[in-house]
Amino acid sequence: MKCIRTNNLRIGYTDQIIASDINLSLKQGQLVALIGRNGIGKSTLINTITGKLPYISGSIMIHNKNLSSFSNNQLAKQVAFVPSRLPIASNITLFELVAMGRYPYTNWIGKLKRNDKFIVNQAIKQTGLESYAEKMIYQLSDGTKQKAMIAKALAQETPLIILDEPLSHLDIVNKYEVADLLLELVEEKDKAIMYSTHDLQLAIDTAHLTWILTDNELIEGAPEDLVLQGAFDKITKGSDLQFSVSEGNFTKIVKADGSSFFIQNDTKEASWVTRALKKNGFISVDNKNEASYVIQVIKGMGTIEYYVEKGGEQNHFFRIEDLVLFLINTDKNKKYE
Amino acid sequence: MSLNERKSIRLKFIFLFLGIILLFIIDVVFGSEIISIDEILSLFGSHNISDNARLIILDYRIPKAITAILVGTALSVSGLQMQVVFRNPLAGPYVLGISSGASLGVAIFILSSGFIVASYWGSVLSACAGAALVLLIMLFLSSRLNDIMSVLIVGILLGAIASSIISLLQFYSGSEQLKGFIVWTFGNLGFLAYKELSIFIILVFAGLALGVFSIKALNAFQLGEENARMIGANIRFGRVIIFTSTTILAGSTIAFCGPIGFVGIVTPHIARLLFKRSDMKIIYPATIIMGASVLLISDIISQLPGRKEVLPVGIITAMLGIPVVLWIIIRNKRISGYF
Repeated sequence: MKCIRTNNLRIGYTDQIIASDINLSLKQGQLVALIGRNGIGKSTLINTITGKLPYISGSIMIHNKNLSSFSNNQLAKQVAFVPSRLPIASNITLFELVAMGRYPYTNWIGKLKRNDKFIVNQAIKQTGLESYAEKMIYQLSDGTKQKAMIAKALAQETPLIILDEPLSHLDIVNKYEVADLLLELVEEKDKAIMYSTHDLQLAIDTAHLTWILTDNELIEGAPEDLVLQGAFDKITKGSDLQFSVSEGNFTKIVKADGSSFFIQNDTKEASWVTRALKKNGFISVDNKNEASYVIQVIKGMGTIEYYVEKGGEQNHFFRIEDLVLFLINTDKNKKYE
Repeated sequence: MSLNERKSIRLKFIFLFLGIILLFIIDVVFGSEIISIDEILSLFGSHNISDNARLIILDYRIPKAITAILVGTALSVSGLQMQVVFRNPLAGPYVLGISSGASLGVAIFILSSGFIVASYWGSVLSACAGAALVLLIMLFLSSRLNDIMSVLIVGILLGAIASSIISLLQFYSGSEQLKGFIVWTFGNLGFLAYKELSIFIILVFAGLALGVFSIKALNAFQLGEENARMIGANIRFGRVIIFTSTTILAGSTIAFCGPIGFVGIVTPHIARLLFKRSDMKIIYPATIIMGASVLLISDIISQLPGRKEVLPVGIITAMLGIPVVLWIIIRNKRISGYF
């Protein structure tokens, strides 16, 4: 069953169209990462499908019902939203924050019934926050706050959860924890979850589907398919970043204006020497005879030495930093000669 | 919330309630004329009480003490509502421009009517008209403004316009009328006899009842409007209820007693500090009770027990309120943490 579907959706503002012909769909049990550069319209798209912004034309269907036919309260039972800004109301406990998710279900004064409390506690447990339940929000770290907001969305008991950049304030461990949590919710609770992110690596690692928003289109597909189709390069078009299909990440295109080098070994040290030299504009060649510098990594007892040979002259270093510095200086001197 | 916490909250409420009863008695007993407990008790029993004491207590001190409770409650609740809606710790009952609107009504009435001794009901009605006008303008504009900060700025601007018109009126008015107006701006709890009091009670209860219906929305507003909307709160409807409640509360207080400052800003903070919570189901009643106590205390001080004169209560609330605001700001350096 399609949880959310858009038909020829055109989004933007009265004086500016952000994107047109958006045809998306999301099923229960799918985790989608929305990717795109700053200012491309990710937030506009999210604000439109959560009903905050009116759309220009087309339609948005949530469970085969038009978005505009939902009241605020009905919509809150279908879509839970986690905004990019972390909660500011600090003088409430984490339990109280999560309990806000019961808002559409409680009576006129907001009294939590037994069932509501049970659901709130379940949500707290699912997100692994039991030990923080009675802590005040201002005592929590950003990572915990983000998980608390996800717990609030869970307590809302909606089939669809949308998160605007949920990973942006988090360190790498928290990022993966939150992404794993989302994946777990999708798989165990059969939720449909969509989140926007700038972390492509993480999107590739965790999301079932990626939606790539570019200047003129929205590309939909499994991240692996999109990588092979070269769709990821469209994100960075016009910049000096390029997506490396073999390495699965973005690399900076550096102007190669240095001398050529050849590296003899095939160890992890050798590959990091290659990275360091390429970053500084040196060119890697496959033939020893064509190279200006021949580099060799020699491992001793607990030491690693980097040997450089240039026209019979040999130098050795203990750190990549010194090796690179030496080569840059040699190149410079060569220019003056 | 654990059982212990629930117990301690209930205990705090009981103590505060007993405190109000005590303060009420002190307020009735101590004044320029100190009346003994015997005399007060004899009000209910035998007849050996002097006519003078009976007059002071029944016709002056008791209505004034009841007025103090109503004013304190009304201003504090309206301050709480404004602080939550505007997510601003320094917001008070007057940020919507209600006070300036009401003052403008009274200024037009007193300063331009030519009456040397302005009639009380005339100023009450003109204050109500001014406050209602501001409310209508604010409701109209806030239905068109998405951002709550814009609403705040509009409220401040409306207030500034009203104030400048008041200044203009003052510039052209005679000294007698000017003094009449200035005295009104000090605020005074002693204007109300039982007839006025009965109307004031109805208004305050109406405002408080409307406020009770906004408790759920106020809780949601604490998360910020974006979150509030997405958990199903109806932002615009919530604003209409809250603004109307605040206007009834603050507007009627100004109409009957003149503008009394700082109670509305300070009391919600005291309630939060005391209960260390911001669930409105707790803070709303806590603010009601704290507001009543704060104004009773101010009234007791303003009566200057043992002396002949009585100070306008507005001066006392400002003198008490400003240090408390300062203390709150210095004590918890991050006051915004509460919002």
